[in-house]
Amino acid sequence: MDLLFLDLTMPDVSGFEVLASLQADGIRFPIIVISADVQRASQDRARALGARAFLPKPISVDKIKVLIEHLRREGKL
Amino acid sequence: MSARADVQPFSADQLDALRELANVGVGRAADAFADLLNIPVVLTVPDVRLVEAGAFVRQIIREAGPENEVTAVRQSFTDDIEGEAIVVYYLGDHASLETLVEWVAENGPGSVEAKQELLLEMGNIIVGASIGGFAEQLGLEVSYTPPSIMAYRSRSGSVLERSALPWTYALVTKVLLYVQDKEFGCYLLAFFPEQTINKLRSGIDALLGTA
Repeated sequence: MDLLFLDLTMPDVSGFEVLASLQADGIRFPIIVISADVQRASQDRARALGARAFLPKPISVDKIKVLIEHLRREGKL
Repeated sequence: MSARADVQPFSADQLDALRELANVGVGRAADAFADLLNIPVVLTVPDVRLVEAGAFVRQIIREAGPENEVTAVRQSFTDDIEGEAIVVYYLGDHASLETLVEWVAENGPGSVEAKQELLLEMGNIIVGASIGGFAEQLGLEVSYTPPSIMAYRSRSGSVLERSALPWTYALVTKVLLYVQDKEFGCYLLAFFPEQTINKLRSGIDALLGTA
């Protein structure tokens, strides 16, 4: 996997749980959280659990393109 | 609680899109609620469906509080879209209305009137952030009537008598915002009647490029 887009609010498992699980397994790819949960505490928690970036919903394709380009320049992709 | 046969059902894609729009609105409401409480708030995935409105409200009231004691605020919205939002305060087994009110206003408020004023203000902030965020994504304007106390520590039976909505069938969005450790929060319900459903359907189709 090269890149993961992850929501925080999902029906059966929270994005935080997914992040924690991936962190425990040793994340080797960038994770971008896309969420409507824009609370500062949620953004901080996502980053603490290894999220590379946080995009608040609603998102645009342009925002995603810019972020992917940024990750490429950083050598993360 | 199934929708009336002549209300055209939404497709899976339309419902998905509505859920996403509701999610953004609810996310803003959660942020505003968290600011008010000064503590992070958990939000659930919005439940979006066509329902028989009265039965849906009765179900939520049954779920909302211990010993069937219910406190709720209602607020209508109008303009490009219209409908009604209801904030039903949620209290877990180890929380009371006092727990919630005193968490927000540490040194009071003492009187019933002051508590109701606080609950109205909380409801108003939550509804405004949620419905405003929802409508904004469709480029729709919305304005609000003043919120009112629908129930204050009332037995659910008496609330049911006052919970009549002006329409029978509606699109409803339901979400729970709560503070995990404190066991309090609120259900946020938004009801959109038939004429607004058609506007939402057009807006969603335009977003999906299927108009």
